[in-house]
Amino acid sequence: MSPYHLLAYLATAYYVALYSVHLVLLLLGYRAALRWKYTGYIEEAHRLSRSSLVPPVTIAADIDAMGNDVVRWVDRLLSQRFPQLEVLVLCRDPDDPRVGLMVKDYYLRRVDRVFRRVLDSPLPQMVYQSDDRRLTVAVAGGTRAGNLLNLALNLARYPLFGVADRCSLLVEDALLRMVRPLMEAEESVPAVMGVEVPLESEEEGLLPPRRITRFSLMESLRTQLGYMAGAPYLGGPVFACGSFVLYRKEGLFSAGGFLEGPPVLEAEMDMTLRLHRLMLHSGKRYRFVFLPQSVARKSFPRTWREHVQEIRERKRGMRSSLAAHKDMFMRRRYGFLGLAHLPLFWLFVNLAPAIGFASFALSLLFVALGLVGWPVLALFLAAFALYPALLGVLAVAIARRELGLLRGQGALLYGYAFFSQLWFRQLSSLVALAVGRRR
Amino acid sequence: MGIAIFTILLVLVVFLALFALYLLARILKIYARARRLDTMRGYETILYAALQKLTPEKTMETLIPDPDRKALEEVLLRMGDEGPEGLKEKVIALYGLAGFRDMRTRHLHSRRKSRRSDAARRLGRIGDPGCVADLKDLLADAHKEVREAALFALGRIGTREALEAMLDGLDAGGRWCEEKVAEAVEEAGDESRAVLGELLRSGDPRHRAFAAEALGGVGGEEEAAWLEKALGDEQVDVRARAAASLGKMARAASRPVLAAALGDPAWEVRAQAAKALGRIGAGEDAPLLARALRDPEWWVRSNAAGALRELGEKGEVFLVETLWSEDRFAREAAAQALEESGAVERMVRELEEEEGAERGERVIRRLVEIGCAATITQVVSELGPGRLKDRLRDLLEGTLPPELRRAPEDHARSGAGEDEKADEGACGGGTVAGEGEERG
Repeated sequence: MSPYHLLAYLATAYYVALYSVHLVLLLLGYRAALRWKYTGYIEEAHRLSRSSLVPPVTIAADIDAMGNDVVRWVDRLLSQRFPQLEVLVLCRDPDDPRVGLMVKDYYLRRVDRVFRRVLDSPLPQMVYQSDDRRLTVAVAGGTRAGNLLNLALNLARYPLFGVADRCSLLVEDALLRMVRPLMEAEESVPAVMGVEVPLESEEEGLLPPRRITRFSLMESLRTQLGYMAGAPYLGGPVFACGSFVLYRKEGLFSAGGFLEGPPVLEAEMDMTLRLHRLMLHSGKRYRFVFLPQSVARKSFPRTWREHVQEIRERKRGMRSSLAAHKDMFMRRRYGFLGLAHLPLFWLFVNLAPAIGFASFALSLLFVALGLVGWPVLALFLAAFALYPALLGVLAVAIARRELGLLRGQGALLYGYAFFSQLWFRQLSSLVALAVGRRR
Repeated sequence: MGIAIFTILLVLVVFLALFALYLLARILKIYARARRLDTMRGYETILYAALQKLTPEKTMETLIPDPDRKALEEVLLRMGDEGPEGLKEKVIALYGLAGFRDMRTRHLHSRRKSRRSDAARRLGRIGDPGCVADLKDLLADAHKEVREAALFALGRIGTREALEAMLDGLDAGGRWCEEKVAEAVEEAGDESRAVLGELLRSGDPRHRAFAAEALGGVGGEEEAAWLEKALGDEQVDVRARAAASLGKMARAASRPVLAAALGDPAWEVRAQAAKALGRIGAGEDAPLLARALRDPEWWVRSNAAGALRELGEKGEVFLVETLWSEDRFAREAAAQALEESGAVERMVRELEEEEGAERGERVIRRLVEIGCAATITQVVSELGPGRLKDRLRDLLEGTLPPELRRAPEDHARSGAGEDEKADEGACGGGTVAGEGEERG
């Protein structure tokens, strides 16, 4: 076997290994979806809405992450069926007209709120509060995102703390479903997330109108069901971040609060690793929970520019969080996370764009120069594009069957699932590579 | 080349054949489902009509001697869900006569967890009290889905025996298990009172704590007496939950024991007692609550401030008095309670009237002095030019620090000035409890 053959086979093996890991996680995710179904999650929700034993929740959101219509956003959140709920809106600009709008629409009163400063955070300049204390608007000028979250943590009244980001709207009864894992005593649950679907397909269960959003949704479903849902059963996930995450306030305090500087996404990525560390140090049995049910609708990218922007933010967050916690790599103390998840994450996610580009270019070059035959290229392409495309189709099939998402879209949906893995993902990887280089 | 084209065509043909098979399977499935629905509709009509007049045995013998078993079981389960008036026992009997009960009880011991949990859920939907013993064993199952199904089933059966079986599982189930038991208790109605009463006297502190909490939702004079007694329990959790439940019941007769609980050595109990007294809303408790504002524990002080707010005018008197307290936290908590209750807003507007203007002036001056001027600033900024605004400006002139003097005019842009003040620890928007806590 020539060195060229060896290189080509190595590239193929890399992709076979990568997508086989995905397949295993996807099957675990499918098992999780079945499990939640058997435990009667959906039918139990309405009973919980009347219960006095459900722990109350504080939901914090940066006013900039609430979309254009902040009043509608707050309305939607406050109308969630949940026994006790408090919404904390955070604002950095004292002159922001949206604050005035909320003060006027909700008859908010400015108060001198007394709170316990458990974490180091800036003090609010103004705090407005509704009479029923369900809505609070806190203004802390010139503060960065992580600091704002810490301020919200200090101000929060309730033991559960939800962080809403990226203009997300919770779907009906999402909170009731998300709170249940936190009530169960089997193992400690540091955070709960769930499946996110696009805001655009809110009215009907149809595909969103824009093509880029459709492709992005297919890729997102693969990641959510093929990684997030399954990874917690193997000691993961490396990063638990999304448009809505529910934490235990106590856990966040013990982890030292959010990182002060970076945006919410990055602060949440870092928090995941800190919570892993905290739990592993305490020796408790724990599991992050990703509900294989749609819990939030968020704004998906509508243009290539937005898509690239999202990739850039995600990459930046991953890189800085992994660098900040590099001491967890290959350490027995951090169990399966340190020994398998983190190294594999580096190899299959962080390095994937560079390895993908190099292997694709070299394989084509070898065939063009006649150094390897076309069956080797065909094998490589099958591992590089066909295997993930089939995985994408499988993820969508699970989403349709077990999550009830996008029912009635038929062949069109599977077409998008297949083709998004055939070219969209590859192109996105290249973009990620370019983004990484430019930085 | 030929081989390549042949391979591609072969793959295409195989794909199309598989697709055709898939479509065929779907059509057959839909057809079978439609047939079954039709059969079920027929059974449903027969059973609802026949069970009113005939015994279950007669119904089985004469009307459905050779049933489609899957369809019949589904219909019976639906009838069990709906719980038709007067037919519940007959549905249970019919389920047993058709052999479903024996089959599902056997499945409870199956090696497959999905079969065990499915059988438990079905037995729960029917609500047969005879299955409690078998279902109870499943509460110790190694798989969560199965335990969950057993809890569901026992909750649906809801008899005393079922409730007791669920309570035995409380130790391992956490908050979720408590929730399921509480639901079952709620559905069991009067029968649950006696069970909870016994539980409150149980030797297991977890059982006592659960009963103390659940009784809050049940209410009643006798139950309140049990809870008052539970305030003397040796376990903190039991005492705290009993105090919270007495608050939910809001009976004035419980005031003396709750007032005594304000002196409990455990802060959890004191905090719940303060909250409960607020819910009862008797003005006579205001002095006690005002004293609790200086408690060393944050939650007690916070709940006491909230309770004083709930007491209305009588609480307001003590909140105003606390503004002159030496304890920084106590006065700031009082200021917050006054702001939240709308009292500060009212006092500012009362400045225009003769009656109460003097007291209002005094309070407003004090609020500004202690740096709690948020509501005043907002109210003043909303006022149009006039006598009241001028008077308020005169009033604040001497007490406001220079950077805040302009605040009444443009409070929306007061960020910079207040920021400086915030750094000193007593900001306009939020007050940090740290110092107050230490002093307390």
